[in-house]
Amino acid sequence: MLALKFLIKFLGILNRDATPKAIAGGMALGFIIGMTPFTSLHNLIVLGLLIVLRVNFTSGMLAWGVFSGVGYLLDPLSNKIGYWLLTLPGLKATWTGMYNTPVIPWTKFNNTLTLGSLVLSVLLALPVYFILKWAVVQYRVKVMAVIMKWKIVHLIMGSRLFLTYQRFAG
Amino acid sequence: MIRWKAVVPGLVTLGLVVVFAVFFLDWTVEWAIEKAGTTMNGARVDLAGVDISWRHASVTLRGLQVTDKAAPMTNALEVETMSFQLAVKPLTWMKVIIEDGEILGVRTGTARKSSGAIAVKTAESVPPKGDGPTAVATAKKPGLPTADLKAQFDPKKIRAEDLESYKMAMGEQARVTAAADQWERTADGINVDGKVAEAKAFLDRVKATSYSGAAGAKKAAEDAKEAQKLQGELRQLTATVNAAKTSITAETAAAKGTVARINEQKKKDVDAELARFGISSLSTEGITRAVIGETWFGRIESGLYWFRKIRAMMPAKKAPPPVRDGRNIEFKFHYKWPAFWLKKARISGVTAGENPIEYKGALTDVTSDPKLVGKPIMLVIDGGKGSRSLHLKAVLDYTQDTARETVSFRYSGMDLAGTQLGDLGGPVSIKDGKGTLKVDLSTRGEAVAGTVDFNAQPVRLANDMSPEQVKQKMMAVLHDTLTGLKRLQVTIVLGGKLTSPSFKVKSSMDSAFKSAVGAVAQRETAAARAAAQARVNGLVDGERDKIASAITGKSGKALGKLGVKASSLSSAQAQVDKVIEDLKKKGTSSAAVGGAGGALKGLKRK
Repeated sequence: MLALKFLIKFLGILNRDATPKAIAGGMALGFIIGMTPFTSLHNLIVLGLLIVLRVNFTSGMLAWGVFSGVGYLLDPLSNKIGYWLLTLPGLKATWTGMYNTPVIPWTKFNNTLTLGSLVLSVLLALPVYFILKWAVVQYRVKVMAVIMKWKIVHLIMGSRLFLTYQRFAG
Repeated sequence: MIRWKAVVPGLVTLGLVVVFAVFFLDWTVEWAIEKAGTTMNGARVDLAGVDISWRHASVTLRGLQVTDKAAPMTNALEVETMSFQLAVKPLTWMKVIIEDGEILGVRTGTARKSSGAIAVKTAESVPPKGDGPTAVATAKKPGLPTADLKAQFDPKKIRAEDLESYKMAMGEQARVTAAADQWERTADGINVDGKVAEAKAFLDRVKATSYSGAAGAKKAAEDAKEAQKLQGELRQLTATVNAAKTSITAETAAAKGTVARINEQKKKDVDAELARFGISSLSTEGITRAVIGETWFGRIESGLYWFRKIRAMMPAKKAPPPVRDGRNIEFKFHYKWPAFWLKKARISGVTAGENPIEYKGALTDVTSDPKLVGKPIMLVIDGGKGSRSLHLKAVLDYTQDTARETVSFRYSGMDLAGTQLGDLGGPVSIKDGKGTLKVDLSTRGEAVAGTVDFNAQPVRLANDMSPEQVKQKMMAVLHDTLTGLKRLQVTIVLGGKLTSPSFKVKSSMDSAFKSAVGAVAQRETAAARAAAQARVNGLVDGERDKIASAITGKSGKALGKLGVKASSLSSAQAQVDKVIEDLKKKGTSSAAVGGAGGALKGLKRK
């Protein structure tokens, strides 16, 4: 029921409730949270940005869920990136400095997976943002009309839950 | 760009987190300690409260109770308060360094208001033997037989299906019988007669042939070639027969070994059955162990278990963590701080019992990384009252790759009245007396060594017995010996490994028991052993003999057949050899075949 409610809400957002920029922005931030270990301190900042910035929160939550799975599959790659960065002779002084700075160790930056996945997700966040923004625009122009004709969509939109949701959502 | 209306809810959420940390963190820490402690101890660990002071960077734990797993209505340890002063600066690096601590009001063996037992785990999740602090303490070991041996030990109670030797005989029977059948089939399967007949026919033909002139010489050369081929085939067949003989002989020897193993197992079964009825403990050491009680051995093992538990917490060369956890890369750190370090904590408490001794001491350098700190964990306690004194020094050294622990404990002037010991027909306890306990224990890696000396003088022991037991001669003698003792000195020598320590017990009771009950015990034990042996023989020998007869019968038959075949092959080979020699001569000299014919005459007769 909760998943259906969430899906209905997201379909509404995707169809008309939010701008492509807001959806893509929310998803890009959710992508960072999903791709990195959840208990890392930096995720508190990303979550704060998701709340404070004019991005779509629901899209961010959805992206978090979806990209957690993707992140799990990419862990071996993230680990390698993190290990490479942390053992790079040119960066040793930087890491040592950070390691000796108060509070910074709480971010667990010296963990291969945390650093690797953060770097990977931050690098990919911008392409993800632009791809998703383009995809939302394309969806609204080309795909939405076709999808709206599907029986399953009619069934969902005719359901009592959807109608109740619409009534309360205004 | 910024959603200002979301800033306020965000700040409110943050405020709630801070409020939670201030007001509910104490409760969360208390819950976490209780839960982790209970899991580790295997019985309830309770805390009356936790106070975390942000301003003073201190933590105080109040009313810690650690249940004795073996006695859930008793606390193995109770501590009134534990206060720790944390260093603030290391906290900003995620390091918990306790500069100073106080552990006050330590007591052992206190009564609980409610049971500290936790739900029993299912059979699948029960840890293996020796993996719990009281695994040995609670394990029921056979004590002394509490009744007359004749009445208690009935050989008819020994069942075939409980005997390993019987199971072994039944299992081997099918295997050995199948192997023995195979021996005969192997012997029958080697076709010697056909080849011998072929050789005979060839020799007959050679005999009948005239080898004269150039044609005769050529023919002789051709027949010699054929004879050599035949000889090769006969040799190959002989090798097959010999290989089969060797194989059957080896298998017979192995099968005979099985019979020998069954006989060995029978002896072990007799020992096991006697032990099941407690008869094996009718030695002087067995009696002493029964008097001391397995609980006391269990306490020593519990101590060793905690060494293992502490060792498991120390950083070790572990396998790389799972990919999902990543790997922590350490950099040069300008402070020598491990993740956790309790530098020093003062300890004070009282001993258990009606007339307790107050003691004081210190616990130092408890750390998550002893190699970094470079100091062993040390606990030193001293106390005394009048003529009584208490001293404990425990050094747990994990600063090297090989873990080492040493414990030295002295308790003199112990008031022993009411101390429960073991069971000798009925419970044994100390009525009154004073004693000294000396424990010297050391470990190095897995090896354990040490002694536990207990000396009580003067002492009086009590041994409660039922009127029926008093009527039994041996039990009465044991009772009288025990209650007549004025001095009790017991030395337990520890050896073996941490996971499986061994105990050797020497006692001043040994000689007393030896002279008092030795003859009676020996006679009764011998009678019981003979009865058990007869019963085991009756159950196992029939099945064992089936194996023996299958081996002797079938191997004899198979080897006999192979012997005949080998002899007939050997004879044929000899005759073919002779013919080859004759034919070679014929081929080179073109002489009359008389010589060959001479040899062939003999062949014909064969």
